[in-house]
Amino acid sequence: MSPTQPRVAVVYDRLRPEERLLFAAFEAAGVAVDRLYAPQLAFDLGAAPERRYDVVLERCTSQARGLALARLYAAAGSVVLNRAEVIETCGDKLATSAVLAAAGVPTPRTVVAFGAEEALERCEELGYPVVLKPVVGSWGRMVSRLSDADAVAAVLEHKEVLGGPAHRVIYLQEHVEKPGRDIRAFVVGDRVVAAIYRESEHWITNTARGGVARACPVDDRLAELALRAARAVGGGVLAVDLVESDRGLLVVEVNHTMEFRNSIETTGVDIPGEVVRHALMLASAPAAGAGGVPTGADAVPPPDADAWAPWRPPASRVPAVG
Amino acid sequence: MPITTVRTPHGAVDVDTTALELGELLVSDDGVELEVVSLAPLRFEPAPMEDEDWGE
Repeated sequence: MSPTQPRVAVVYDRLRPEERLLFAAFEAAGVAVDRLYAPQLAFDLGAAPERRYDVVLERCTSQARGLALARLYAAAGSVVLNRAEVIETCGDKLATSAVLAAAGVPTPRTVVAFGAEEALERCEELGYPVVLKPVVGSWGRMVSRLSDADAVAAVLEHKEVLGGPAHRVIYLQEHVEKPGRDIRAFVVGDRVVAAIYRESEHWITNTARGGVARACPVDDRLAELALRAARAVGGGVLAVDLVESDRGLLVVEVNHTMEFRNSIETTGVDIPGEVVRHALMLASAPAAGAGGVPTGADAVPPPDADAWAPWRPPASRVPAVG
Repeated sequence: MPITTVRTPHGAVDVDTTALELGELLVSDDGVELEVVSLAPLRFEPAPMEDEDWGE
């Protein structure tokens, strides 16, 4: 490796097609990349910090593992894509909804309740059917469309009996009648590089659940909304999911470890290449846009240094990054 | 490409041991999805399909 070449790592815990595509894109860019298999990593929190990488792409399937690794590499001085704060927000539907609402991003009406009785009352206000989602979860798992109060009561009883912290928060959303599809916009830094329609006869349209991808034109409205949503969660490399409604486009969620295997041929956009170019840009100028926060003229101002990494171990306990 | 048959408690897999990568998934002849968890020594474990916090 040349002395001027950026030091790059991809940390992962499952070698999906996306990780292979990213490795290939780095290779095509002539950049060596360390492939870090998370289950084989260990960190000594009592050792001196060592900044081994300019940029680390966090690609773990496990959110808890990815979040921890993002914190550790950031604490050692690397730019991490995506930042721990972004992972934390995107990995929690309640946190995502809160920041989207604060940023004025249109979303399906959402309520959060902490007891069954209150939840049932709120469902009457939302109107049936309602959608009940786990606060943490992906790929449409455990997402339920409930047609009446009896169904809601039954599912809430199951949650109560199952126990566990994830079932203590009841996250409810209005059901949006969508035209057999939703939209996924791929945001890389301050650009929407591509978008797809995800079409399915099932009301859950995730391609991981059998939804079919088709190219979606990125018009100004879609781009503006997807970028606003991405900025609201902290920016970076993100997939913004939207639905078309009679109120216009609504943002449903923002994904921080986006899958794009079905979207490259569909859109004709080299999505992994875009991600790699962005990562290399950050590696060469981390101070100008660390973590992938947009840096264009209309971008949110870069946060101060402390805001990059609110979690910092005490100086004497900074980890060695291994 | 040197293909080797590796026998595991969950069936046999034909692999190119020089090209295997950590985290890679393979399907054994018993139909079990196996994950490469170590290269030296080579070790496979049944791959979990999903976990509560898995996703995008």
